[in-house]
Amino acid sequence: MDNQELRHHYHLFPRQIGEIALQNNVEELHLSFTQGNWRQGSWGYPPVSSQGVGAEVFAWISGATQEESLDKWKGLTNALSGVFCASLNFIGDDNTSMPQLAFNTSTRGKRSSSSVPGRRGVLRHGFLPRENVCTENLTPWVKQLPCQAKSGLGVLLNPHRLYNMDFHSMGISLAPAVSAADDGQTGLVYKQHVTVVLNPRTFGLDRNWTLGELMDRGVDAACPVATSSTVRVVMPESETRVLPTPMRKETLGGQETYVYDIQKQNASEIRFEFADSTNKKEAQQRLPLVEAHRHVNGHGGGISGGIETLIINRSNQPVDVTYSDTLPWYLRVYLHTLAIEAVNPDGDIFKQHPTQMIFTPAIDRGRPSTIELAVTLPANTRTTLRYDFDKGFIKYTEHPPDANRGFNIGPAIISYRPDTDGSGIDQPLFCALQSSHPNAYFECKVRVYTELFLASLPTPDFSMPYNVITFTCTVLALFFGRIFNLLTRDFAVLKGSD
Amino acid sequence: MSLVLSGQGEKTSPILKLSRKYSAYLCYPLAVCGIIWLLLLPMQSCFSRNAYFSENAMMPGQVKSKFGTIKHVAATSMVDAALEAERAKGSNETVSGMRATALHDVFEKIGLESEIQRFTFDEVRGIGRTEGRNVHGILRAPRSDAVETLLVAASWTTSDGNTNINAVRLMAGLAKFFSEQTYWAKDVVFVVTDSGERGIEAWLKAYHGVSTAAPIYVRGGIIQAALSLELPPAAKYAGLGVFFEGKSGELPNLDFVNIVQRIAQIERIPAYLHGMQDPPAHESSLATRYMHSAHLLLRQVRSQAIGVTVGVHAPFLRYRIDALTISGIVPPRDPVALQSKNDGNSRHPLVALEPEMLAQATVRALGRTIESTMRSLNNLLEHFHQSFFFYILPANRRYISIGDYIPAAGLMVASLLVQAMHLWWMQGSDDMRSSDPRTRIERMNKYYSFLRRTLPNGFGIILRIHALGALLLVIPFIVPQAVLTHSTSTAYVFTMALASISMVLHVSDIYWAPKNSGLVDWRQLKALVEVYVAVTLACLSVMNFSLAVVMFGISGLPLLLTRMYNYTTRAHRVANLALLLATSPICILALSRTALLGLSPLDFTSSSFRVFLEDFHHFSNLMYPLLCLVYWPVNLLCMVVTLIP
Repeated sequence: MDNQELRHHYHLFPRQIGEIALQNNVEELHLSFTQGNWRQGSWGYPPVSSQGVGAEVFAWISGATQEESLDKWKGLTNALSGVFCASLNFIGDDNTSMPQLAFNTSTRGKRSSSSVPGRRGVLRHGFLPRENVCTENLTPWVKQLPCQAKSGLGVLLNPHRLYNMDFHSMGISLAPAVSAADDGQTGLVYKQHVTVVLNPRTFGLDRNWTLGELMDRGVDAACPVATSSTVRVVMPESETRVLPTPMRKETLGGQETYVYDIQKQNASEIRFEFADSTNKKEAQQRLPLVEAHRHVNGHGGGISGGIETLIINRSNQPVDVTYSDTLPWYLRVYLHTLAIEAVNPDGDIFKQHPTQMIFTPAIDRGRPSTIELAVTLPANTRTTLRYDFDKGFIKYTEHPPDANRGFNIGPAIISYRPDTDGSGIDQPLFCALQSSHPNAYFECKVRVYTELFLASLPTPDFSMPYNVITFTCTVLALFFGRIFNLLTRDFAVLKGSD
Repeated sequence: MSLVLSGQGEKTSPILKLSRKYSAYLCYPLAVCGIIWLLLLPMQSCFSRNAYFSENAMMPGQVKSKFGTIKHVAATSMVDAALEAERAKGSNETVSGMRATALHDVFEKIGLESEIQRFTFDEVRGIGRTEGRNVHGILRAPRSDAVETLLVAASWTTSDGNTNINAVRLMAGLAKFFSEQTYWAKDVVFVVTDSGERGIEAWLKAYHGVSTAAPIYVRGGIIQAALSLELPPAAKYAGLGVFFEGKSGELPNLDFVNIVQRIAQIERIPAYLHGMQDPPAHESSLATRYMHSAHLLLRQVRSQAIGVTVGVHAPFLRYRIDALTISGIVPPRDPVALQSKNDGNSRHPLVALEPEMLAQATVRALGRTIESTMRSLNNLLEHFHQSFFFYILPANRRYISIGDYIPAAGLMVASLLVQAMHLWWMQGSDDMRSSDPRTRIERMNKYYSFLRRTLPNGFGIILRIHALGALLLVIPFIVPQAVLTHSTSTAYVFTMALASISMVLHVSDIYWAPKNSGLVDWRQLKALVEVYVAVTLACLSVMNFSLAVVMFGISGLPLLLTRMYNYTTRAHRVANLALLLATSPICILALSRTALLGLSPLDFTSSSFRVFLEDFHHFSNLMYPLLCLVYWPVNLLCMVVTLIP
């Protein structure tokens, strides 16, 4: 679809999103809301590429000038804020970064030919680490679906079950694609995703349950306007039975997958039977190549601290990763303290140097600092990346509510291409799924989001100004009363009656 | 200079006139008032107020506690099973290594992310290298952002050397129970160390990235509160003791102490401060209650000032983590406790004969107390910031706030300052102090020449004596062999004491020579030392009130009483020296051995100096530098003041 034609195709494409995208010159847009940490060490690759806790928006926006595209970016976040009932309007100058490495899809390598032609827009990235996801965000998200929650798989989205979870992520994306006819025409592909990790035990289900029981909803029919509606079950390697037998089986990223066509089968009837014990050792084989954790050094009382990111490379080969960290201006980073050390299982320590480094220093109340590094992780190592910061003093009105909790600082993002050998076997699921839609500009790049951390800044005694105000007001009131009385009253000597 | 001049009768502001007139009589009443204020603190109705919860978000005891089904209690035996399995393996690991591996297995089995930390530490820098193992397991809270963490800690041995296996067992039971709950908003970390406070310190250093010597990789967010457990072998407990003082007198938030006491009361296993039950309110006399409170306060003073702590909570407080220890009180004639005592050393160090677990009812009550406390802490939206961080607790569920006890310290400091002021005015000869305007120029000349003559000598004495103190401080770090063992430390301190006495005799001898007469004025010297001590005490009193009081007792008060007037007879000097020797560091160090280690004051194989040094090395405890740089030199300076003409 051409951008000009887009406005006439609101039959399936949600009009709200389409109009926002057109008005704000959006070339590509990704928005996601996430709650709960994705446990890389036990869950493996995430099914989506965004899993930083909080709300994340990034978009390529074109504009004749930087100012224009910045205006459009602000327009976009404010509009999305209204659509999704989220505080995305708090993405302002001081928490918008312009990363150059982490999201770059046209890097060197095998798939560089798939770089998006004719992209003129600039990438802006905003992250709100304190945003909670709830039903109020889910409802507008469901509204964008063609059948909403009336029929089709949307019916399964039961908020009572979706939010009683270990991990939850939902979002939309709008990405350029070539048309199926291969006539060189480009258009936009709109996608909505929701990911949850549920623990059936929470709902009193044990080893034997159906999808309908798990979500406490039944699907009657597929969405009538859908051309295809499928459920894929990726089979774990341990003893698990899934009933009924699917009409089709395929292999996705090296894993056996059952495919159910909802237009012919009832999705809520799919039954899962787990064996008594799952062998943990076996499950560990599917762990992601790269795992990352970030922690804050130093304790709450100190005025300085440090950031320590641990990146584990499980592969037998070196892996090129990009590290990107955006810190608010009140954490003043000392780049000279940057140290990268890799430790192999034998305990040998290697000093590493970044092959590329882009640093954008912060401007107080104007711009966050962004550190981007390209590092090669040696095979089978734990790499530690450290740098120190000082905590700035901020005005007392700039503290968030519950100031003594501290500031949530958004995650660092580590991105890499997983199939270093090109065989496609150890691909994460979302890459494998993408490959089946070859018309999108897509490069399989995994982004690993680290944990958030809390920065506790020096906190004033908030009751003190209140005390002062109360005291001053009392004194003023008493003083004012007397003076006003004296000024306005007319004193006259009364003649005595005698 | 204007104050100096006005002191010499130059300016006659009425306030200065008055203070000059009465300062001679004011200092001792001020000190007495300060002491009376201190003595009033244990009075029930005087300063103390009833405890209350300042942070309403915690809602202590508002949940129905659920720990204690047979399954949870059974989970406590996982530790024994793992230890047994480890022993059966018969590896040539050390006991602490086997324990660590066993516990690591237990944590993994429960589903926690677990890691073993191997670390080494020196007793004092350069000597006494010891290895240790910490094991920790992190329970990741579902759907949380994992930025905040609560912590449960224990050591394999209690602080009095008993086995703490019960705490580790209970921890396993709690970990199992906690991992089945969905309400956690913060991660929960379980830490077990084999080296007590020093092990926890090593763990905290690694967790906060302070040291990279023994790194840990499985980490969580900021630790908001920590609870340490000490459960000596017994069948059941008479109650719980709550211990809360940090190594340098830091205290956890008062709300934390309060919620633990409140919740324990709800769970019917009462928790007492320092394990001391209050005498019944209506049956006991006022005097009994006063003595009881005084006893409790003295124990707090001991813990705060000297750093004798019970449990492994103390290191946390240095990292701005509110922490306290819950300790089981073993009733007299408890069968399990007696048996464990009898088994004593014959027991295989690992497990085979570990004492029996507590009775099921006690496990349930304890587990529920901890469950409920952790849920209260889980409710915290922010770091503890309400309520008090500076307090003293004269009785269970009562507190004295800083505003009520700090005046005592203020009065003591004031007495020193007032006396210093008086002595400064009184220095030199009488003819410098007349108020005759006609001799003004003459007096000023005299005064300045007096100051120019005496001040350098006064400061010279102070510096020389302090250099000795500095030497005392640094030698153990340069030549650690001097404090290799407790016995050599005692020898070291005695050697330094002899050196100090000779220094004092030498310094005071100089000024008895006729050619040196008038080069030094004892009033000036005493005034200078008093100002210095007063400033130190004033700073200390807001950080660590107990330490300030102790320092006043051993340093300020003798200084105040040194050369109370310009005496000349030998008998006076001897009496004064006797007082100074009685409060000398050697004497007090010997006596503190009783308070610190519970040993006889004459047992020279244990040295409190060495204990202070270790605490300084590991926890930056203030006692050691204060001893070397304030207490020791001030005592010597007092002697100089007594001995010079």
